[in-house]
Amino acid sequence: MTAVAVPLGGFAVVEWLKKQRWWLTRVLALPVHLFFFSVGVFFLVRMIPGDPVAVLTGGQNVSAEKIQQIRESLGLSGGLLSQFGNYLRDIVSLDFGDSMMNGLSVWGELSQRLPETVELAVIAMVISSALTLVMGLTAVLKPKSLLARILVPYARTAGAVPDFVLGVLAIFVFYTTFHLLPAPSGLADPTMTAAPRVTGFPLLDALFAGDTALFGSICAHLILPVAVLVIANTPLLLKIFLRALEESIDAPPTAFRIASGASRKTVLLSVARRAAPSAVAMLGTLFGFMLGGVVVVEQLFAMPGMGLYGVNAVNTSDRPALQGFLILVAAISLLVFLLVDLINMVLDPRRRPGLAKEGS
Amino acid sequence: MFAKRVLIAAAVAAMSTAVISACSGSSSSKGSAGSGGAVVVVTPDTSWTWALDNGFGGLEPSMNVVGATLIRNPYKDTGTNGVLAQNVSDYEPYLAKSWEVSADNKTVTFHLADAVSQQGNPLTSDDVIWSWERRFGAPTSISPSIQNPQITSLDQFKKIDDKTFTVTLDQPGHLSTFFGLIANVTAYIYDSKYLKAHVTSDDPYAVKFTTTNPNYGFGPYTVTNFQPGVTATLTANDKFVLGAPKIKTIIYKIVPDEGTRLNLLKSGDADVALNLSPSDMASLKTTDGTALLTAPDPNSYIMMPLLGNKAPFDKTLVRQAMAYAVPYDQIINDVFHGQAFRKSSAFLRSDAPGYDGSGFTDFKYDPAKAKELLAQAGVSLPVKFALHVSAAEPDMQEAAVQIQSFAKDAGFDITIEQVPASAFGEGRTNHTFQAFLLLDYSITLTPSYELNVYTALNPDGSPAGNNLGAWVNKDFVAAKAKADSTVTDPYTPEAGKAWNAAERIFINEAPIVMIAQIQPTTAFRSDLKGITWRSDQWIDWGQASKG
Amino acid sequence: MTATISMSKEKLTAPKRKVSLRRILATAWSWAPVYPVAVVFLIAVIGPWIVPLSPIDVAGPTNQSPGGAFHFGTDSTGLDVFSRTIAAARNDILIATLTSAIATTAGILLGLLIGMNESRRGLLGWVARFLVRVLDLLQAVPAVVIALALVAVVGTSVISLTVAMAIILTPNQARMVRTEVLKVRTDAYIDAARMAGERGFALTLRHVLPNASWPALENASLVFGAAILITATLGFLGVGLHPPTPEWGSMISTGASDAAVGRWWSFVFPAIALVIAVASFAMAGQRLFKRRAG
Repeated sequence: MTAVAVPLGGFAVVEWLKKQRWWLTRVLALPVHLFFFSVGVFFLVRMIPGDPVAVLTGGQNVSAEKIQQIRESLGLSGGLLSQFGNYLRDIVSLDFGDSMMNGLSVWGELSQRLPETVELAVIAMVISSALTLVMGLTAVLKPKSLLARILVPYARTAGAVPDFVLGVLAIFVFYTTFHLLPAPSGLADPTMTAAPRVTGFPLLDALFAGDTALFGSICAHLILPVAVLVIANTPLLLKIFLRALEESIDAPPTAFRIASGASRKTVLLSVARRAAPSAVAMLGTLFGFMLGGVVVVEQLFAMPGMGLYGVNAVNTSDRPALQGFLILVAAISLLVFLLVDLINMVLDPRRRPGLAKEGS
Repeated sequence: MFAKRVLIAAAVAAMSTAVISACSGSSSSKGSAGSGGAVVVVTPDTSWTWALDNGFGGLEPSMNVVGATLIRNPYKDTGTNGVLAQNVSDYEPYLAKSWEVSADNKTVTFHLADAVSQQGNPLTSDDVIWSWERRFGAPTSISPSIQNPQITSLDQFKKIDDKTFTVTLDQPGHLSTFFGLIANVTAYIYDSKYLKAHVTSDDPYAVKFTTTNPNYGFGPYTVTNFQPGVTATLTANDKFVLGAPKIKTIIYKIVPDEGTRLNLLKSGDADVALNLSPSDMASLKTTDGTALLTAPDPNSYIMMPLLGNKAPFDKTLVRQAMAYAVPYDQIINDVFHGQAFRKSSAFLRSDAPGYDGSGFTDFKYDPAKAKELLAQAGVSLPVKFALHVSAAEPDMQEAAVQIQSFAKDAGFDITIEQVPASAFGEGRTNHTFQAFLLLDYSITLTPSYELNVYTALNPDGSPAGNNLGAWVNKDFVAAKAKADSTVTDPYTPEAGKAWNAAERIFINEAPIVMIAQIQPTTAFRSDLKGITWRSDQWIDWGQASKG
Repeated sequence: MTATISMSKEKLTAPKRKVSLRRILATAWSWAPVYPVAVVFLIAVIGPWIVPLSPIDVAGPTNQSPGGAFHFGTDSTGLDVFSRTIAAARNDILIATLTSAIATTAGILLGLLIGMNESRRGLLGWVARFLVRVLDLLQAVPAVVIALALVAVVGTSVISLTVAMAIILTPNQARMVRTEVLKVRTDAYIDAARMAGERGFALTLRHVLPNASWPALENASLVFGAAILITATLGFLGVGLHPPTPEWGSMISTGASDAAVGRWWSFVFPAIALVIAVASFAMAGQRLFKRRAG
């Protein structure tokens, strides 16, 4: 019996695997892409001019043997191939080494800063998506209304005003002039103690600790940075959504629904549903813009995130820090793209690979 | 059907959130610090490191934690805003309660005070000697080069008993600089009992251990909370050897944007703001509730090295012409808004006893004279070169623009090259630029050290890393060696003449144009008293009080 | 006038269109979205010649508010903000135009190469599929991050910034062209051409290229805007063109600190100029490259 059962069981597993191929292959491809990206990062980082040893010694009169000693302890000696070999070995075991400037573990610092950056980007994206949904539907349903007349040109300006311009304006108006919002001095009031670390996301941690004062302070400090990100990036999403909505309204299925006497609500839902996938696809790119915007916002609002870490790493030619930063950012972006693709493929089965369709 | 799909999508999103938080590292928080009565300091990100002997990163907070030295310079009230300034020509007890100098001026005997470390270990001679072992043994330590030639080997240290030890120098001429060195950053004393317990084969001097464990010394404060790149909280150490500090809690916050730091100070959300721009410092003069940290004789200089290892500044006449082409007044007034001054072309501290300030060329902005010198040198006009500045220093960029504009009339055609900090550091150390601008200061301020810091040569005669002008001059080397070997007390009139003989050559040959002395860039709320000016530009919080 | 079709020996003619003032004005109005861009280009070209003061030399006392000799005031170095804002147009527009041109051209070529060869066996096919992955990766990482790393390597001259921007912005163009190529390949007229004897390269050039390029061209104005914005962001982060070269982003960056303490002019004017330039390009792009018929 077992002689037949095993191959039969194995056969069933293989069949199941084949059915799930559409998402399995995507998920498995991720580490491979990341690996190739890491290789690229290695060479890119090495091409950056600037000698970290010179920054480390602060220009002091250091003897040649001492410089060689420092070089060895930083892992900078040895030929390119041996350095590359060490690098590959470390990457695969997720060892990003220590920052050359302050000696702290790169992964340690990045993993602390990552949730804060992601929290900022995610909040901004959620608000942006919600706003887009509302604004898009309003503009299409009531095309003659005042709101629509404002929104459509706003969408067209997609990205004309850069986020750092908005940020400086916001600080100038809301803090310097009117003192309406707290100082851009970081995540929360400097004299408050941080909540014990449960998830790593500051807001959630404050919630879990039941520290309402801290929670309120974090929210107050988040208002401006999130607002800046949302205002700067929503037009792009809105533009895509509006276009998709218009196409969806003109599409045959909508006409069919209307003709068959469906209620207004049903028609709306079906229109939105068909417009959703292209907007969801845009979310991935939007996240990329958000991450880029977060780098700027962190600088302006003193938010302790990954953006500042990256800028510092570039300025000090801190190779391990820069490598870790680039790889982590790529990993997050690829992950988000993967998630967006998966969500889209769940929402709209026609998009699954292996089915006949046009283009990508 | 659709709803089910939406649910699946939402579940995927939620799981990814969980994945990301699972990847979060562990906190390095050490518990909570008290609020109320705390002093908040806002600073740019200067790559703090607690681990000394690991390069030369931003060390201000660590000075207050681990920065206990054997002796230190005494503080004098400047009479303005309660600011205390170091008297760099004198020393008082710190971890050493007394010391004697032998008759031949080569051996010093130290008697240690009854100090207790932050970990509770009493101070012994073993701590002192092991601290030097670590300084000389750790691969990333740069102290050996700084303490050369005064301290070159551990054999110079001898333990007499747990509270007494001696240091023997090669020459009596090294004595004054030896005292200067052991009062400052390269001579902190560590708690060797604590560190030895954490030595590993990878980390034979616990350097890596100290990057995340900052309380390994005898200083006035302990670190009770630390988030790299974000904040650090210092809490007063009541067992401090010189008495418990009056301010109990200090919170350092990193705020990268300069304008934000200024706003926080003005609104009272911060008590001290570091690294403000000169124009903002000047604007604070008329703001109520704030005060500037002003030094009677600041040791920060804006300097312009003119490298002698390549054209056009390999000719002395061209360098001197450039010294006449710098718009000193415009830089002081328009770039530094009066937060700088220029007493003369000279460099050594003019408030030192016995100082001799004669014989220096008085370089002023004089385009006609500059052109005359260029004609003498036989070079064709305009003289073209690239002036490098670091992207991390906006004041230097502004000064460069002033120099570029005004040096045109003197026959110089300047291109400004702004490079990132690391490339700047490399070019500076390897002498690859033609000329550059930087703001720098020497921490040890004895005449012998100051004369050496920007002119040192490697054993093979080539310019050392910090020899900014890549300058090699036999006469200067001879004059300096003569002064070093004959002078025992650096602050007598005879000594002043000897230093002057060397300094004259340095200033008149103009390998570096000393443009102006720059006031500190720190401002604070006026209810803080006892803010210190020190030669290392850091605040000694043990001296401060609030209200 | 009505058309006349008659069976007589008269020629078949369409009605003559009246050249009326109304007609001219209507045409002029329909081209209105392009005018701002023309002005911007004009300023970019002649800017440095018409400015009242030198944009790179110290012009007067620092931090003067707008008025008098300094229309837009002076910044913290004593440079005239008005002259610099006008002169900066040339640098920013130059970088953006070059980037747009390079990214669009390279994108079209790459997209063609990939799209036509993706499903082939053999070396070309592998290369094409590999390139798709590379493009995906490049698009995954945020533009600013790539720009930071690239600029750290190549430096900050006009050429190197253009190269960095082009590298960042080509993948999207290539992707869009590739998608279109995949669609066009299966169209009937391609088959017709093939049957008529056209092959390979000539086929691609004559038939696929014109029909598949339009998404990239339509997008060119957005690429333009993105190039200016990323350059400005780099300038803001401190890695822009050398001082005192006028460039809107670095002016905004140095002006930002001033604005935080109340000196709004060195920040507001370059910011407005930047927004106007980007918006007018987007507007013009929409008008010029609007897709003809669905």
